[in-house]
Amino acid sequence: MSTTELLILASVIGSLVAILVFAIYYLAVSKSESMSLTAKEEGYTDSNAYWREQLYGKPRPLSWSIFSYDDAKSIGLRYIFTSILFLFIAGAFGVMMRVSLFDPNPVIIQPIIYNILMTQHATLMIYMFAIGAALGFGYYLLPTQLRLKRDNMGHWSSVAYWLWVLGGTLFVISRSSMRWYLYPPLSLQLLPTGAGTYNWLAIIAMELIFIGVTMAAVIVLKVIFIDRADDIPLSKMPVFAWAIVFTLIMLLSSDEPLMVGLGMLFYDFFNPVFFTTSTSTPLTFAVLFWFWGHPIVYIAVIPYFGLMYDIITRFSKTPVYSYFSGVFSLGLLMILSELVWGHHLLNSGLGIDWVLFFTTASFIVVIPSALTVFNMIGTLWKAEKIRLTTPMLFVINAILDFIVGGVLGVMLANQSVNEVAHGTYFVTGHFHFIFVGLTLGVTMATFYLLYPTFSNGRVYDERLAKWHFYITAFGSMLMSVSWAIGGYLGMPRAVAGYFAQFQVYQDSAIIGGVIIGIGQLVFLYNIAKSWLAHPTTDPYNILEYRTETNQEIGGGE
Amino acid sequence: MASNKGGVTFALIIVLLVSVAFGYILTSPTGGGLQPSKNPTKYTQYVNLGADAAGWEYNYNTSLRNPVLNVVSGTKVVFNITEMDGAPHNLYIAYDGKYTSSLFQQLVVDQKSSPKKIEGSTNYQILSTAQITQTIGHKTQGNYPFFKDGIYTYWCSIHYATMVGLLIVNSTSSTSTSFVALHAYHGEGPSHVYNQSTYSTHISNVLVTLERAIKTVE
Repeated sequence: MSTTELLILASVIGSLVAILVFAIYYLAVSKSESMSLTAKEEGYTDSNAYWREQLYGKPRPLSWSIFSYDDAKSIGLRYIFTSILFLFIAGAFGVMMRVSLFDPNPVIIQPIIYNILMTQHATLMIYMFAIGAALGFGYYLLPTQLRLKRDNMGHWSSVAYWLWVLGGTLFVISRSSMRWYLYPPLSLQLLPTGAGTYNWLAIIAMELIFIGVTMAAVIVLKVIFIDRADDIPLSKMPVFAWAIVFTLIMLLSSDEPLMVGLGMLFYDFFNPVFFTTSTSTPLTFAVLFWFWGHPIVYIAVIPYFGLMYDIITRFSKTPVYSYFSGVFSLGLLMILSELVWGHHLLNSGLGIDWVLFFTTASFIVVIPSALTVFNMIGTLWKAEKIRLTTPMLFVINAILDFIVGGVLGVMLANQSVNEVAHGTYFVTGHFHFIFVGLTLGVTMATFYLLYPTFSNGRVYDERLAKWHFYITAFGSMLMSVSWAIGGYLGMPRAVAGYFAQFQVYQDSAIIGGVIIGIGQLVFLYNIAKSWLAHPTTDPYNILEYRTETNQEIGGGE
Repeated sequence: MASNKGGVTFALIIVLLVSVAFGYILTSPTGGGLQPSKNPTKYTQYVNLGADAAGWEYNYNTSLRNPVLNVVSGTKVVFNITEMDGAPHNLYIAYDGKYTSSLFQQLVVDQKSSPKKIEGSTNYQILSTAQITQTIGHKTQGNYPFFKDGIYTYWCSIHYATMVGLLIVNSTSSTSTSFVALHAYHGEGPSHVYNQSTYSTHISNVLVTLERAIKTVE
C-alpha cells in the first residue's frame, strides 16, 4: 500500500471514528442535560439522586438510559449484559479452538493463534463473564430482595464498571498468549513466539480489571451489610445474598497478592529482579497467583449456588430444606478455598508436608460441596410439585454436572493421580463440567427468569428455550466426558495438536463444543424474536417480587 | 431500547463485536521465529563477549564494544558470555535479511533512532536472564548454528539501545573462518569520545571495508 493510499484510508477511518464518538458524546450530553433539567424543576440539585429516587424499587427494563442512570439496578443491567457479550466473544474463541483441532496437526490455525485464543477464552470467561455476571446479579437483585434504605454509591459503581470494561477490552487488544496464569518467564517474552508483543498491555488490563472488581466488591458488601432494610436481619437474608457476601469477602481477601504480583511482573519488563534472576524463582509468582487463582474459580461457583437455592425454592414452592446448613456450607467453602490453592502446584516441588496439607484440605472441600448438593436435593424432595420450567431444568442439570465435575475434582486432589493427570484434558473436563453446566447454566436460568423484567413484560419462547437447554446440556456433557476419558488415557491439554490415537475423543469433543455454540445461538435468536412481540405479562419477576399474577409464569409463556 | 427492538439491538451488538474480536485475534502476527537447524555444522567458532550495560565487550575489552562479527555459513558460533556489571542481561539474535550494504547501513544507523526494529518477529533467545546470572565474573555458554546467509542482529532485550551488534553470515567466503571484529559503535556507545561526525565517518569506513571484503570474495 502506498503512502497516499494509507493516508486516505487513515483519514477516512479517523473521520468515521470521530463522527461516531461525537454522536455518542452528543446523545449522552443531551440526555444528561434533560435529566438535570427535570431534576431541577423538581427542586433537586443532584440530578442523579433525583433519578435514583424515582427509579427506587421499580422493575428496571433494559434501555440505553442504563448508561445515564447510576442506580444499583442500572449498574446491574450493565454488568449482566456486558458479561453476556463477553461470554459470546470468549465462547466464539472456544468453539474456534475446538474446530481447529479437527486435524491432529495444527493445519487450520497456527499454534501461536491457538495460544492466543486459549488465553483470551480463559481470561475473558473468568474475569469478564463469571465475575461480571455474579456482580451484575448482585447489583440487580439485592436492592429489591433486601429493600435498600439508600442507594448512594452509584458514581463509584459506575467508575468500577468502566474500569472493568476497559480492562477486558485492553486484554483482547493486547493479543496476549501467556495463558490465564501469567507465569514468568513466558509472560516476560514480548514476542509473538513468547507471550505476545503487547503482553505488557495485558498486565495493565488485568490490573484495571482487579481495581474495578475490588471497588465493586466493596460497594456490594456495603449495600448488603449497611443499607439493607432494618426488618431484614442477616439470618433472614436470601441465600443468594449470603452467597454474594462470602464470594466478595473471599475476593477481597485474596486478590491483593496477585495485584502486587502483577506490579512486580510489570517491573520485571524493565529490570527483571523479581522472578527470573538466579536468586529468585518463577515459583514465587506461581504461589502469588494461585493464592488468588483458587478463590477465583470458586467465585464462578458460590454466587451461582445462591441463585440455584433461590430458583429451586421459587419453582418447588418450599423453603430451603436447611437454611442454616446451606449458608454454613457456603461459608465453609469460602474458608477452604483460601487453604487449598497449593493443589494447583502439587507437582512443583513444594515438599511432601505441604502436598499432604493441600491434598487433605482439598478432600475436605467435599464436605461443604456435598452439604450444598444434598440440601438442594432435599429441597426438591420435600416439594409437593416441581414445575419443570426452563430455569428449573438448567438448575437441575447444574446439580448433576456439579456432582460429576466435583467427583473428577476429588480424584485430581489425590497427589498420585494428579501427577499423571494434571497435564491432561482430565483437568479441562473437570472444570468445564462445572463452568458450562453450573456457571453458564445458572446464568442462563436467571436470565430467563428475569427476562420479563428486562424486556418490560415480554415472555420468552418456551419451546426455543427448552431447545437451548437440551442442546447446551447435551453438548456440555459430550464435550466434558470426551475430555475426561481422553485425558485419563493421557491426552495432553493446552496444545494446538494431539496424537492421532486420541482422534476419537477430540472429534467427539469438537462435536460437543460446536453443539454448545449452536445452543447459545438459539438463545440469542430467542431473545431477539421474543422481544419483538407485544408485552403480555407484568414485569415483576418471581425472584424479586411476590405478586398475584407472576407466580405462575416464571418468565416463560 | 425499551421499545420492541431491544432484543434485536442486543443480538446485533453481540454479533458485531464477536466478529470484530474474532477477526482481530485471528489476524494476529504469528512470526515464524528463528529455529536452530539440526544439520551438522562444519566449523565451530568461539566468541568471547562481556555483558555490560554500556555495550557488549569483544574479548572483554572495554574499547571494543558491539563488534560486527563475520561468520562462514555452516558455523556453530559458541558465545562465551561473562557478566561484567551485575545487571540483568540476556542474549537474543534476529535474522534481518539478505546482506546488502543498504540494509547494513539501515540497521546500523536506524538502531539508534528506532530500536524497535530488532524486536522483529523472527528472533531467538540464546541465553536468558537466569542463565547469565547477576554475579560479576560468572561465565556461561550458548550457541547457535548459522546456515542462512545474511545479516543477523544480536542484542540484550533489557539494554537494547546500548547492547546491540551485527553478525554477518557469508557462504562464499573462503578467506578464513576467523572473525573480522570491527567497531560499529551504534547505540549510545561511548558518545563522549566520538561525536556525530566521527560516528558517521566510522560507519562509512566499516561499510567500505565490508564491501571490499565481499568483492574480493566474489
